[in-house]
Amino acid sequence: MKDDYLWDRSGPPDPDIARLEKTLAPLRYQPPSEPPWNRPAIPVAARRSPWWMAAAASVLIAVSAWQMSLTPAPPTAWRISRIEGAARLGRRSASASMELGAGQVLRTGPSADLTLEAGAVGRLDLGPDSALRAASSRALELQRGSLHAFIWARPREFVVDTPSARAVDLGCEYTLTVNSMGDGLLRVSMGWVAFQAGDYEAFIPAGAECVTRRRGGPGIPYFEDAAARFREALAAFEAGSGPLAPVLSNAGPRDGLTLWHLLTRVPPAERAAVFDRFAALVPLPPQVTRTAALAKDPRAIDRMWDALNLENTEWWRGWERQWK
Amino acid sequence: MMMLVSSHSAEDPGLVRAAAAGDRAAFGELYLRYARMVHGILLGRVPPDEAEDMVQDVFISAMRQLAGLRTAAAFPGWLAAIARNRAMDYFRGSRERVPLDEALTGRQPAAKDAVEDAFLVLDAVRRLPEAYRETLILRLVEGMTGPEIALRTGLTPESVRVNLCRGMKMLRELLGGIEIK
Repeated sequence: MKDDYLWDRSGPPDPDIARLEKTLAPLRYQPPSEPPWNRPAIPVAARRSPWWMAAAASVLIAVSAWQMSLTPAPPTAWRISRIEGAARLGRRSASASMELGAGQVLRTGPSADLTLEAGAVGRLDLGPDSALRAASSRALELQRGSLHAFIWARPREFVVDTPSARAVDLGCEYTLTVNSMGDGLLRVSMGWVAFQAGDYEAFIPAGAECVTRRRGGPGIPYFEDAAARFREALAAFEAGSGPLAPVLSNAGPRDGLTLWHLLTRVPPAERAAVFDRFAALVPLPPQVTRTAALAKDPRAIDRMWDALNLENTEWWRGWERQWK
Repeated sequence: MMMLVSSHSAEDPGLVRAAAAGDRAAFGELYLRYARMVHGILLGRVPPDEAEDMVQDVFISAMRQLAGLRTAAAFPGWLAAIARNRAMDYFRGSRERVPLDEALTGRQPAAKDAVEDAFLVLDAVRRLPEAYRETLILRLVEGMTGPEIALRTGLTPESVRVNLCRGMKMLRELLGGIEIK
């Protein structure tokens, strides 16, 4: 029977189940060889330590714990300015005008939402079923849920970490969602956002979006209004279930943004096809040679980006580009 | 494995009666046999670190009430009910639920990756309906077989089998979008 392994571990192991068993093994309960109430009593002689030493230690521990519970977290610039429904800040119920302390986690209930403001940084709307940790005034961590950010701090000064990537604000308005699996989606409505994780970077302009996956980091950005066939082909390619060819054949001139990101991500064998399609869609300056682009020469990659004629690229000049 | 389960099951009512009469060694044996079942039930409801601590609470509570148990054969279901109630008490109390991701804080980096993966999958299992969640945790986390789960929880083998198959189907769908090493 095909479920034999699931039922009593007989028959050939189901690979999925075997993998889950291995993954979950660290959580397995390890009963002590003997339950606590069966352990032999400690001989009186062995217990004969000065009573005052034990008492002092207990008091010291209790006082330390009490002091720790009273020590407030260092404040950040973020303050709750509006709240609808139930939310918690750390272990307290959240309410308007409360300040987020560094390290505190703000959680909204299933039908709650709230607004946070920080004078020199910006405004955030936190959606239902969200958890947001404040690392500092300039760094937050969206653990799950949704966040709409309108940031007026200088570009690159404010970041939001997710389980799979860091969103670096480049002067913008955007919406970030993170599901319970740690995967996320970033939609930019104004300005730019950079998505970073390890060696991967994605630059997302207004009107574009980009997924980020817990295992893979930032994906390839695309414009929300791109053709459905192009988006479907890209999603299949990124998931490893589809070839590159339909991504390229369904790309239009505006999809140069996506192809530019693909150029540095695809294996060398596929890079030429990406470059050729990019060159067919986007007029390139004569300085950009095919050879240089395929070698990922930084100047060639920069000029290809400039050829996209995307607006508001001042931030780009200060970006530390590391093409790998 | 099956022989071990069968011989254990035949002895259990005797152990329960002896434990109810105040035999600590018999109760200790029951603890060793049922601790994983209790832990699995708790793990489906409370943070993992709390579940480990609460196993002893459940057994201490059971030890105090055992004399009132009329039928020794009802022990597995009775103990499971105590574990479920204890988990509900946890949320009735003032302690705030700690999400799985926060429970990672303080772990060693080397162990953190493995535990993070485990928490990720556990998070998905915990989103399944209760019957599937509990049975799958006992099977996948605690390493119990279907017959052993039936024996330890008091459920019929048929129910356990259905819970395992349906729960696994739902879990595969839930985890379809993520890659587990």
